[in-house]
Amino acid sequence: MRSRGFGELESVVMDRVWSRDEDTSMTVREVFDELATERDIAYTTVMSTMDNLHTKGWLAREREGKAYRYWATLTREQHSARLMREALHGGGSPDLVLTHFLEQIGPEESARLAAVLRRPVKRARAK
Amino acid sequence: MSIAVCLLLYSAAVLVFGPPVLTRLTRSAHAPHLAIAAWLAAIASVLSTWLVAAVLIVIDVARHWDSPAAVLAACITRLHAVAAGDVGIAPQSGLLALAAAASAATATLGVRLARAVVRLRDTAHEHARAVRIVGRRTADEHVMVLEAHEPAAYCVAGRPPAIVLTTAALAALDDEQIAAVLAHECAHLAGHHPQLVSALRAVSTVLPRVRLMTVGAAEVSRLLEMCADDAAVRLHGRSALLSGLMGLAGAASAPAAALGAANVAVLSRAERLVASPPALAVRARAWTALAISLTVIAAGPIITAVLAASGALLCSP
Repeated sequence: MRSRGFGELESVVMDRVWSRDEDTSMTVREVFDELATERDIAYTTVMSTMDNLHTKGWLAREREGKAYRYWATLTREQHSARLMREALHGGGSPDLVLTHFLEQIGPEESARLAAVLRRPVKRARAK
Repeated sequence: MSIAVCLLLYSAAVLVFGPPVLTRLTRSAHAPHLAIAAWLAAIASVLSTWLVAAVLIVIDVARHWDSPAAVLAACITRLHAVAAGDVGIAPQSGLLALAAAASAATATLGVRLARAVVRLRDTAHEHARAVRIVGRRTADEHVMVLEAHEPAAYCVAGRPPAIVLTTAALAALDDEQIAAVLAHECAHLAGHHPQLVSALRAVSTVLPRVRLMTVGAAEVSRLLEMCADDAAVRLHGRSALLSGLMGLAGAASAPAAALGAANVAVLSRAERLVASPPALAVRARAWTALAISLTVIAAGPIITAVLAASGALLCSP
């Protein structure tokens, strides 16, 4: 599937950009040169992937001569924190449907859950 | 026309009696798959009944356009006389209004539903995509690990879908517990549970005041968790899943303290897992009750239509 390959490439490109220092930017050529050592890939593919990431807000860019210099708008950690906010607190919108293994529960439910769960484990240990 | 009226009466009956009866029958969750089937049948039959009724009304009006009196004759004019008594209104304009209202309501509902489905799907896919960019890949292509202080394990629909484990969750669990948690989430993905939950969420957001839809969405989510629990238990045993639940709950209690959101679903899951499996007789009784209600719900529209068709001979030309 094209979309799957494309998504995978987006994460590979972001890996490269994040692996640099925070203040350094990369051109498509630099990313391509790094990727080309490991995989068979076309320059234009890297270019359109980075353009795509720019459109979606993952990368910012600035023209330098004929090419753009790209850098990450947020660090990986900031994205992780954003995703966790979305996942755990709905991110302010109820539109994200997730099936949590354990829903977020309040202290009262947590205590009741612990009380329920303590039963079989004790029994199992006693065996 | 009378078929449409009968179908609407049937759907009203399901709307009124469905939620309390099904909630009672599915509370114990001895047969979660069957319970889910019963809820889905009720929701789907109401929605499809509405659609069919609207189509029938429009067809009826179009077919008897030249002789509107015939359509109205026995059934509707009687209602007219009783309700308003405005005999002055031309039957045609009344029919037209009825057909227009039916099709407008159906179209509005359909468009809103489609929009809600697309919105939920896009949000989930966007989240899954972001997770794939930000998270660390693992040996399993679906499982991504996110660096986070909050212990969490969830799955999200996408192309491809993703199972997300946070580093805090990994730290809180041992290998056996992780395997049980992953088996639970894999069961969700394999059963297309996120898509099902999304569809029901869409219906319940479009029809927020219809209890069958809102209660149904919540109940089916709860039952799907139990199905996934059963799958995980089959693979890794009860104690691994229970201690995984406890491990995550213990690790989660501190940050969750600020939330205070009431969630009884996890308690009923835990109680169900802790309790020894119910006796065969109990399960058979639950199974029978659900099978009967499922049959009634599914057969409802058919019987209604058949009865109406024979009754229709009496009241339509």
